[in-house]
This record gives sequence, C-alpha cells and structure tokens, in this order.
Amino acid sequence: MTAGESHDRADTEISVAERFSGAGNGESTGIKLRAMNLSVYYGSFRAIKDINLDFPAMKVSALIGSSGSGKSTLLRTLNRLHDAVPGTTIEGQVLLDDQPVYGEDVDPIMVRRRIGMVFQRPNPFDKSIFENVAYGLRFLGKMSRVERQERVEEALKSAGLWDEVADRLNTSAFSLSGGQQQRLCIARAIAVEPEVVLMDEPTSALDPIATHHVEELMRVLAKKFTIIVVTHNMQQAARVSDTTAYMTMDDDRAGVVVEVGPTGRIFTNPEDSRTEDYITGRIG
Amino acid sequence: METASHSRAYFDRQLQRVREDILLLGSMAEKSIERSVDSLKRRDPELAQAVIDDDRLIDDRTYEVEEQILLLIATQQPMASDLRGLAAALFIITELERMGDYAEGIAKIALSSIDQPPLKPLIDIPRMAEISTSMLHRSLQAFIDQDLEACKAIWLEDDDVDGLYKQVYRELLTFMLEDPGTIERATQLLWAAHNLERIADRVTNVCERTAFVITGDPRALPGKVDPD
Repeated sequence: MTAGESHDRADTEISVAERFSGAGNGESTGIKLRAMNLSVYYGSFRAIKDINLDFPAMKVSALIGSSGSGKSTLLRTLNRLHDAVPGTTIEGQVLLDDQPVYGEDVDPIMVRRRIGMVFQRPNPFDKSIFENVAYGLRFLGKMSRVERQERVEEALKSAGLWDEVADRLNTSAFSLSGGQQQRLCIARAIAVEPEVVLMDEPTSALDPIATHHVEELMRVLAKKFTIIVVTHNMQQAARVSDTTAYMTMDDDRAGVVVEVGPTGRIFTNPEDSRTEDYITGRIG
Repeated sequence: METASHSRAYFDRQLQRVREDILLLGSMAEKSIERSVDSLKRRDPELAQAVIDDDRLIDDRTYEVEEQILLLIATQQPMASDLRGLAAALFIITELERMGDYAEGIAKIALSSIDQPPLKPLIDIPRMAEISTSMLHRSLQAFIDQDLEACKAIWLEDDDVDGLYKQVYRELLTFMLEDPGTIERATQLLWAAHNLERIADRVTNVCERTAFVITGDPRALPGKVDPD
C-alpha cells in the first residue's frame, strides 16, 4: 500500500472458493508456524494439551473457543511470552520456518522480533505517536535518522493510520481514539518487520467502526505477514480469517484443538459436533 | 415467561416457527393443487375461481415467512446447520409459492375450458396430481424430520410423474393428429399436465435442499432441473 491510499476493497476480497479452501490472497507459500505436541503448564495445571496446529504463511488464522479453552495461552506460547512468567512449563515444540522456537541457543528477543504481538486493549507507551512506532527500531541495530523516519512512516501507512496522524506525530499517543491507538500498536508491531503478527482479541475494546478498520487491516497485512488472531467474535473470525481452529476444554480443563479447517467450511459445515454446538450457540 | 431474544431457547422456538410455517404453506399449496385438478375434472367454475383467489393468500404467506427468515438471519447470525436450514427454508418457500402458481394455472385452464365439450375422461392427470401432492406432503415431512432416506426415495418418484406426463403427451398428440378440431382442448390439457410435471420437479428441489441441510453437501442429491 502506498501513501494515503485507502484499502482497495477488491484487493482484499476473498472469493467463495477461497473461503472453502482457506486460500484467501492466493496459494500459501507453506507452513510458517507449527505447534507440535504443545502443552503448557501453569504450575501443575495443564492449560493446553498436545496441540498440533499448522499456521499457513501469509494467511489469517483464527483461534476461536469459549473462555478457558487456552486460545490466549497458545498464542502467547507461540512467541515465548510465557518465558518471563514463573512456574510456566512448556512441553513440545513450536517451529518457525521449521526451526525450533524453544531451545537453549534460541534468543527469545529475536523470536519476538520475528513474531510480533498486538494485545486486547490498545497499550501505547506514554510517548509521542512517532516514538511509539520508533521504539522497537532500536533493536534492529544502528539506523540513520532519515531511515528511522521512513520506517515509522511506512509502518503507519501500513496500519492505515498515516493520513490521520501525519500532522501531529509529536503529540502524545494518548490523544488518539481507542481505534487509532490500536492501529498505532499494530504499526508499532509491524515497524520491526516481523514475519508473524499475533493478535489477541484486537478489537474487543473497539467500537464497530474501529473494529471494521482493524479487520480490513488484517486482510491487507496478510499480504505481507502471517496473521494469527484470537477472537471471541465468531462473526469476526468468519469475516477475516482463511482458516479457523476451534478449541475447547477437555475433562481435565486443559485446552485442546477440536477441529481446524478452511473458515468457509468450519462456519457452514463443521465436521465435529462440538464445533457445531459452539458456533450455533448451543454451548459456551 | 418470554426468554430474552439472544438466548438459544428463543432462537430454537423461532426456528420451530419457521418449520411450522413451511408446513402450513405446504398444506396450502397441496390443497390448491388438489382443488385445481378437481375443478378441471368436475368442470367446476366456482372451485377454479377459489383456487385462483387463494393464490394471493399463498403469496402473502410466503412473503411473511421470508421476512421472518431474513429477520432471524439478521438478528441471530446463524451458523452451520442453523444457517443451512434457514437458507434451505428460503429456497423451499419459493418452491411452494411457485407450486401455488402452477395450481392457479391449472384452475385458469379449468375456467377457460368449461364452455367446451370435454375431450376425454381425465384419468392420468388426476393420477399425476395425486402422486405430486403425496410427494410434496412427504418431502416437507422429510424436511421437518431431517430424513435423508425419505428425500432420496421421494426424489426418485419424480420419474413416475415424468412417465405419466409422457403418456398424457402421446395420447393428446393422437387426438390432435386424428382431429385438428381438438387441438385447442388438447393443448390446454397438455398445459395442465405440464404444470403437474413441474410441481413434481419442484418437489425434487425441496428434497435436494433438505439433503443439503442434513449433509452439508449441496450435491448430496444430483440436480434434476433448473428452476424455470
């Protein structure tokens, strides 16, 4: 996308065939991220159990399921956000481009640079709009002032926010509306040019119009990044994602994956009766 | 006590109401078909006129059910089998409305042929009506019961109606060849038979939509006819 251009609707539209094949934005270039026999324990409590899930490159993958089904735990495990939480144990492995994410010689900072995260509530820093986006760039090594400015501008454009903030880059990020703040956080996440962007209920604190902007943005971003989104809003998963995985709690209250497939099929003709019961509102 | 409009119990009751309305609409169409062929057979202008008048009631009812379904889609955002069921319901009410139109067509033929002497005693045409209305009745029951086997069986019975139609066609052709003076009356009967053949075709559409609701596969029963 170039400066000031609004998102071209036709450009991000997904055809019916793509809905049913999960191939929105054309064929995937393969599996970007892979969870293998992944379990996460908080102390002795197993929060997710034996998760095996592939996330195709340059696609939007949605994780749906009721509260406690382990969606957010799974999401945070993918970029090692649990590392800092005492008492958390990980079993199994996460592969990024077939390389392990968990390992003694793997730098978690580097993992998080390649796998960015956007949270439920917009959480800008108490800094200017510019500084918020520029913040992560320091981890990329030495960079000229001009290059820094270019990177910030590019990220804000990609997040569809540039036109709204170009004339007030030095004002506080808190002066923005909630929806703008969330897009600022998305700009901050993509400024460091990650390969994967994780989004944990990115619109649950936003109004319908801001939600619409962020959803449209997800489709645009999927042309460059692999997107994985946790959402409680099933209509949102149905609208924006290429593939959907449904998670639930098993008898031990551990999160498990029930079914994964192309979004078109999951929402019209799920294979597992538990998925059917959840998406039709019979449980959960 | 009325349950809140966002509860599953409320939605289930509304879905049940749609199913009941489809049954009601089906029985209206069924009655119109029977009475239209009766009016043709007994040469009864009052009965024919009643069928013509009643078609408006079928149309009105169709629009009401359609609105009800659209409202449910808009307010409940149905998914999976709920979504397939409501999509199929929209198709099915359209089929029923068209069956009512075919019955009205037969009633108009009955009205316009009353001042002419009968061409022949009607045997096969009432038989076609009997089979078609029975198929219709059972197809809607199969929709309510979600009965795939019944759908398949009813779908196959359409061949019997097609067979009778060909028989009527050949017989009427013979009349016309022997005596060109019968052409107008024979053509009218042919139209009546054609309408009944189309009604049975539309019942197969009901079966196909129901099979889709049950299996999720839109080609669970191979398509027979395009809507005309």
